[in-house]
Amino acid sequence: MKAALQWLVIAVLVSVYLLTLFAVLHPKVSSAYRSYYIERTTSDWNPEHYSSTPEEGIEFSREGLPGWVDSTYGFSFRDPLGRWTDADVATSPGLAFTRPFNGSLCLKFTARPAASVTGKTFAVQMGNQTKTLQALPAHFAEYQVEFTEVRGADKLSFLLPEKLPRESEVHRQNGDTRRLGLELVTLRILPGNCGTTGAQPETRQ
Amino acid sequence: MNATLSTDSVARRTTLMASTGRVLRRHPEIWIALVLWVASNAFVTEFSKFATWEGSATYYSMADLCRWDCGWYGTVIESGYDKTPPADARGYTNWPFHPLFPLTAYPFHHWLKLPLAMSLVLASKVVLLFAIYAFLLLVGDPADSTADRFRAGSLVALNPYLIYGHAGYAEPLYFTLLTFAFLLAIQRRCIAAGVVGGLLSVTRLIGFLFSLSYVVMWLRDPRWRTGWRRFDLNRLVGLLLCPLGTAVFMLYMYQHTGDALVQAHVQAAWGKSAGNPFHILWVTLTGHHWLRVWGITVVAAFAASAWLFRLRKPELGAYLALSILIPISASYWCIPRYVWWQPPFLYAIYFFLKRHPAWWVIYSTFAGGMASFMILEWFSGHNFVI
Repeated sequence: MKAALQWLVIAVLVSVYLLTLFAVLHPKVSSAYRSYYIERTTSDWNPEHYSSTPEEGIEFSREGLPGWVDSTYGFSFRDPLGRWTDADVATSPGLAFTRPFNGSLCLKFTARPAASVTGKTFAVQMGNQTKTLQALPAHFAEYQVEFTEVRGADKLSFLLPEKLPRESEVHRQNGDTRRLGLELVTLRILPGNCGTTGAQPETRQ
Repeated sequence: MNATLSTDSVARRTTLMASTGRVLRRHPEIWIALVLWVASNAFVTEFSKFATWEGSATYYSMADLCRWDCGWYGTVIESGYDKTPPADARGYTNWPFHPLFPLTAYPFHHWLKLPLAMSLVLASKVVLLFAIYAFLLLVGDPADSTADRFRAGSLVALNPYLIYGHAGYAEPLYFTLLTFAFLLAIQRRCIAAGVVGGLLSVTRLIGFLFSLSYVVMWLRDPRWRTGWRRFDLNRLVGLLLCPLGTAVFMLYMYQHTGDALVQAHVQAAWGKSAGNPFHILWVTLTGHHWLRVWGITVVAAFAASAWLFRLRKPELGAYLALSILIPISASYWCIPRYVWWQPPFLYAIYFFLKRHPAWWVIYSTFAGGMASFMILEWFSGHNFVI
């Protein structure tokens, strides 16, 4: 009788663990939850959207996202100046748009590179086009990138050098363990080429 | 008539006092724990007052000790676990905070109608008494003198990070349950050890690791090794009970949020992700200021773990090593309290100091200084105290 009761308890406990295993393997979560908490491909949880056009751009230090940006990925937390990319969050940081961009575009952004990226080349990818730039050693610099005949670009990605070191490895006294790439301050997308929008026509400044 | 009643009541009181005296003589751990608990409370109150006089602290009552994680535990009592994270940029929520500690504060808040912060602080303070008592039982030897017992209890009551025993944190409850779980397993009370282990696993994330210590103790038991054909099913039931709290909590969160692994996933909001623990240890050791202090603390914990293996206490050593390895694989934050509120760590310190009594002076100086400093800094608003 005692043994039967013990086996019954064991069967119940094993059932609880099997049920837990089932629950672990079958999460019932929204795609936003999955992206932020499980896959960690986006950097903002449920962001508020403020009114702004691509021409007005995005200020990375501001809470929320402009209406034309659906989500960000590969970015660290906001600081008073902007947001650093963090290769631990995603290897190719960028923005996902709420609508696709087409035609000729001029991308302008202000950024500064981490010490490990300064002087190296990185690329900006928008839809079917990729442009290469050099990370300038200046504190903050405005970069301009011209895209011609972009088709259905629903996201913008920064292709940074691979295997970025942690800040704590670059600066021994720094306790920051993020793998920093670029700190973005502002980013705007203007229609037409950079020459007609009043911007310089080259892909770098 | 009145004289008879009075004589009866005096007789009853005398009998009660005599029996209490007998119990306390037979179990000196009880009164020693009580004395140390009072001393610990006086210490925290005194230095909290000093922080108010000489710093920017605002300490008017014990409720003012409720800061940082205490506030998160408060949200669990007030409104339960969030169904979805609030819509802020980071997605902070109360999911990482296990339910058993807030449940111990529930009676104070809902039945005695005490303010929330006061209830949480009171709950942690009350459980601290049991933590001291449990540790005295764990390290105790019938041959120990009263002074030995006081020294052992002081490791908990006057811990360098004792502030967490008084501030509405889960540390004293975790410490108490883990110590009792080890005690019961040592006494081969399998079901009771499993039940306490199950409660432990719903107090802190790493509580489920006790299952491993349980298995180690089981395999090392000479009775099991010589008579394994006479299989005791209670041992298996005990083992299966150890992580039950974790499983039940996971199922609850699955039903509540849709994600059984919510406690691991929510770490994204705090920017934590599993990585190489030895890399993070290296970062702390090559860093400066608090980072290096925390790194040295982790190294001390690993050294204590090795010492426990040498003392033929692998169940304690393995638990200590893993319980530090898991949090340090994600971040170095909170590491000092994770180390200093581990019964195996204090166990190792106690036996080291018992062998080398001259070191008590050095340890006591460090513990007293650090404990008072941490209380002063508790009110500073600096996040290194979390």
